[in-house]
Parts: sequence; structure tokens; C-alpha cells
Amino acid sequence: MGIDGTSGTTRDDGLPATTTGDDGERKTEQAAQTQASTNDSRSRPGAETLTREQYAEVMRANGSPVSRDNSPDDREAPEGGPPNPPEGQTSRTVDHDRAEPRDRETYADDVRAGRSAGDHQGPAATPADLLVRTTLDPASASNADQADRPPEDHSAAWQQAAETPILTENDSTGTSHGPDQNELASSDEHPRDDQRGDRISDAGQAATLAQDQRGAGHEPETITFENKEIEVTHNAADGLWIEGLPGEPPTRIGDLISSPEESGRNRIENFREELTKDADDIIDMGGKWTDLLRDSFGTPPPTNSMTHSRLPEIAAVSPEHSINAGHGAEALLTLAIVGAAAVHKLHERWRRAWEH
Amino acid sequence: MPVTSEQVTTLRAFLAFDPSYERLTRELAGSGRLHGFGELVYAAFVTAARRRFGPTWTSAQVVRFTARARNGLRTHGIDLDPRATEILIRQALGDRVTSPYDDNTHARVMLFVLGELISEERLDEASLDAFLAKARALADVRLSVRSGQELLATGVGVVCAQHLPVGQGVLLPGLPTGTWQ
Amino acid sequence: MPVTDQQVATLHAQLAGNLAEYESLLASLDRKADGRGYSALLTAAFHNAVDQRFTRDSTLDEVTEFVADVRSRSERLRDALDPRIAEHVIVAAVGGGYVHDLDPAESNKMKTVLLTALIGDQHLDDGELDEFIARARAFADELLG
Repeated sequence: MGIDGTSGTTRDDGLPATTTGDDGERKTEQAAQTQASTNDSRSRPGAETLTREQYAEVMRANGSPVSRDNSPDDREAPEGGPPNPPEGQTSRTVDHDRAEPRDRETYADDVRAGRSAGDHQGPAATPADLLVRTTLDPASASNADQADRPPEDHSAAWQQAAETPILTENDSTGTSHGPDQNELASSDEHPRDDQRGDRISDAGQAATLAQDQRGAGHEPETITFENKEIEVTHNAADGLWIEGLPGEPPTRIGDLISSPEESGRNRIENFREELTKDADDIIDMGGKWTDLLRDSFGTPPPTNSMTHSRLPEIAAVSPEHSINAGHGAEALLTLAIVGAAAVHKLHERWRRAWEH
Repeated sequence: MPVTSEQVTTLRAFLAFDPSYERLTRELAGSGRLHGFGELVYAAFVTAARRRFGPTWTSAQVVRFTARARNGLRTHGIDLDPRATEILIRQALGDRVTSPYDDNTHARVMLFVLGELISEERLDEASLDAFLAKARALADVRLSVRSGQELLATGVGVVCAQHLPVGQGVLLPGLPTGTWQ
Repeated sequence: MPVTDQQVATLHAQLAGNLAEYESLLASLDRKADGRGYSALLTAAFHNAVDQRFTRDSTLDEVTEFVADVRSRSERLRDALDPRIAEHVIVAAVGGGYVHDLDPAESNKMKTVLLTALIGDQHLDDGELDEFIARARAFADELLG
């Protein structure tokens, strides 16, 4: 792809990288180009900043490992299926009803007993059997309880040696690093592409999910974890933090998974509970998903294409799409809050991709 | 007020894997010279997205790209909301879809997806400068139009309206060209 | 009460892609009499299908990619399946569990759609599909006790 997407260069698939729109689009582009040529001299980095090549050299000199880039997305043929009208989602507003914070042990007990999720049958409302097998040395994890974890066990709730925590857009700390930057650095030495991410462990535990996904309400709450107050929203969209992961947990998370513990349940018991929970609804709702089932088979229906044939003009003003000028601070806040270390790791990832 | 060189330099440092980005960010944040930075980020995001997916794109491509980006970022402890990411990319490509997410979510998605898109392009220094120049120009146009709209709303005067195409947003329809008063 | 032939026929029609027949058979089931049995059959089939596709050595990336692949098949699926929830459901299933607080309607939708995608991707012939359903039936009967 060329430098200038409007120059008519081609993409990897041979399609032109740009579209020649109508006069209006060309005028918008022309206005942009005019300003671009004017501004060009003002966009040079300051003397104190390194060029990309210089920075790459510095990192190589420091012995930064190299990993393979992700494979490019294949630009598949247009798929069939009638285009659905775009829909907005309901806003996700979190009720910041901050109850008296519980300490970690109390929260862990409550989670195991299912009390953290409100009235709730069954075993601990422990979220995900989520994964997080890491390439890191488990002993290097910062959590002091690491050594107390049960050994790897098919019936164990969690696989130990977790890697990075799950952070979300709503997380304000954005840090997965803290004292564990070295561990994360070591993880970069392993080609992530081969590993394809974290392994799913046979946790054997049920998972809780978002407040808006169940009948009873799960109010957000604040717990104390390692002398730090954490808002637990019980909204899966806010991500999960598993106790024992290296680094510090975010200040706001969907659910915090307490230390894994054998609960005595097995698959049969879990699935019995599941089928019972879902039994009342299945007959009534099944017929409403026929279209989805048809789509699931992967055969594009002979109706409207899902291909969007051309890019419309970039609107001069579309406040619902852009970051409002007054919220420019949000972007900066994001950069700062994510943390230098987190972005540094991203920069490593992007730099390696750039070098290959 | 157009985008400033300081803002461009800050965004450039972020996109160029330059560790000075943190200092520049803090300086910019502390200085209060933020007006326009959001537009710059947005313009860069839209420009990069359109280069990546244009001229024809499918919903499937956006979904798969989002999944791949999430997988890559997750290893660094960053979990992008997949739906927010897909919606913002689709919006950048002209899809008429409403985003229910707040500006903070928008900012995070745009910044990290922008980083992913730029890293895929493997731009050299000159190319990155050219990209940012284009994004800056687009942001300046948008800031100018918005400023004009705001003045119009306050009844200051007739806006000198560029003949801008009708896209997704409102582009001063029906107003005559004129001069600022 | 074990799984009935009618419940099995309904699931078979779904997974064979005979969706008109599936709708007809489903409509003939009784909410009270058949709900638990059909739920057991769906749950058993879903978990068996997940076990065929993902193992303990599978990665979250693979789950994410699978869900993205399913959601990319149509805009309806893209909009109907929350990717995080779908991923959560699969990961929980691999671990021998389920998502506790998932609304039953959402849970059933996820299981129904993801099951269909998982089986559809295998391109089973009639005999293989019959075998799959027979194993699901046996598992469901076990769940029903």
C-alpha cells in the first residue's frame, strides 16, 4: 500500500487502495492535501525524539527478542446474507453503587459461596475457567498466594501460572506490568504466533457473567484486594481478573476470580444445573433463531451482499463518531493511564511487526 | 484552532514506538493545549482504517480483523471491547451505526487499533510523516467546519462554507457561501 | 424421564439443516413436558461438540478466532452473538462448567447457534450425524439421571 491512500496504489489483493469519489470527496481530499503540504514542515519530531530506525537500533542493542508478526487478514470474497440495518446498543451504564468494601478473603469466600453474585444457586460464582496458562515461570508471579495454589489438576479450578491480566476499555490502570515487566519481557521471547495465546485450562468451574445477562441483578461492588480498592461491576464486558496473575489488578473489572479451590463439583453436576436453568426457555425461544441457524451453516444465502462497495466521503462533522474536541483529554488520558510499560510492550510488538 | 505540531509530535511518538511518547503526553496533558488532539486521533484512525479496508470491505473482514487485533493486544494485557472496536471501524468506513460507548472507550479503541493498523503498514519515517500530515489536514478541516457550525449556532454570522460532500454527518446543508463577519 | 424420540428428531433436524422441519418439530414440543429433556439434549450435544473442537490445550486465541469466524458468517450473527459472551460460554464449557449468570434465553441461543456452527463445520454425513446425536442422547439421559 502506498503512502497516500488516495494515490491509486494497489493493495495486496490487487484492488485499488482508494476510490475516486465524486467531486465532493475530491475537494475534501484536496483541502486536506493542501493543508498537508503546508503542515508538513511542522510535523517533524523534536530533536529529543528518536526516529523509528534509531529506536529500533536501540532496542536491538538491548537484546530485545524478535517474534513473528501476525499473519495478515485474508481479504475474502464478499459474503452473502442480507445486510441488517445497523443497530445501536443500549448504553452500558454501570451503577456505581459502592457498598462497604469487602476485603479480599471475604470476597473470595463470598464468591466461592456464590454470594457475590447475589442469590444464586450452586457453587462459587467463580468466573471463567478462563485459561491463562502462561509461558512465564509461575514462581515469578508477584502474588504471594501463588505458592499456596493447588498443583495442576484436572479438577482444579484454575490453571496457575497466569499471564497478563485482562484489561478493558473501562479499566483505568491499564497496567499488567508493575513489578512484573521482566516476566512480560521474557514472554516476548517466545513466539506468540506458535503459541496462539493462552491455553484454556480444565478449570471445572462455572463462570459468572454480566449483570445484564441474568434475571436477578448483580450490583457492582467494591472490594479490597491487596490493600487496593477494586470496583467489581459483575459485567463480563469489563473483563476478568484472576487472582495470582502477575501485575496489579485493575481498579475496575467485571469479576475478580478468587483463588482456585476444589468445590467438589464435576461436569455432570455443572451440566445438570445448567440444563435445569435453561429448561424453561428452550422450547419457547428455539424457533426464533432459525435465521441464525441458517447463517451458522456458513452458506451465504442468495440475497443481498454484505459487501460495502465503496467508502463514502469522510464527513466533515460527525460528532457521534469522533472524539469530541473537548474530550481530547480522553485520548491523552488513555495514553497516560495505560502506562508507559504497557505501551512499551505494544511498541515492541508493533516494532517487530514493522521490522519483518 | 487547528491541530498543533505538538499534538502531531505526541501522536507520532506513540505510533513510532518512541519512548518519548510518555513525556510528550504528560506535557501536552499538563499544558492544557489539548483542543484538537481528539480530532487528530480520530482523523488518523479513520484514515488508517479506510486505507486498510477500502475501497470495498465486508463485515466479515472487520470482525476477523478485530479478533486478530484483540488476540494480539491481549498478550499485553489490553482487552479491547470487540463490539466497540467493530462499530468504530465500521463507522470509519462509512457504515451508519451508532456507538453507545463513551469517549474514553472510543479513545482507547482508536489509539490501539490505530497502532495495529500503522504497524501493519510498516511505514518508514517519511511515510509516517505523510500519513500524519494527511490526518492532520483532515482534522483541521473538521475542526474548521465544526468551529463554523458552532459560530453559526451562536448567530455570529454566515459561515464561509466549503463545498463539502454530504457524508454521514451534517455538512451545513443549504447555507450559502459567504464570509466571516 | 429420559430424552424422547421427538426431542431427538428436533435436534436432528436442526443439525441436519432441515430448519423448516426443525421449527415444526420444536413447535410440537410441550414446554413443560419436553423442556427439561430437550434442554438436556441440547446441553449434552453442545458440550460434546465443544469437546470435539477444543481441548485443554486449546488457547483463548483459538476460541476468539472461532467465535469471530461464526460471527463473520452474517450480519445477523454478528449482531446476535456478543463475542465476549460466546467466548465465555465456550471457555467455560471446555473447563467442564457453564456461565452461571447467563440469562437462559441468551444461554440457549449461544448453545443452539454455536452447536450448529460446530457441527456444521464438521460436515458430517448422515451416519456420523446419527452417531453424534446418539452419543448426545446418551449423555443427556445421564444428566437427567
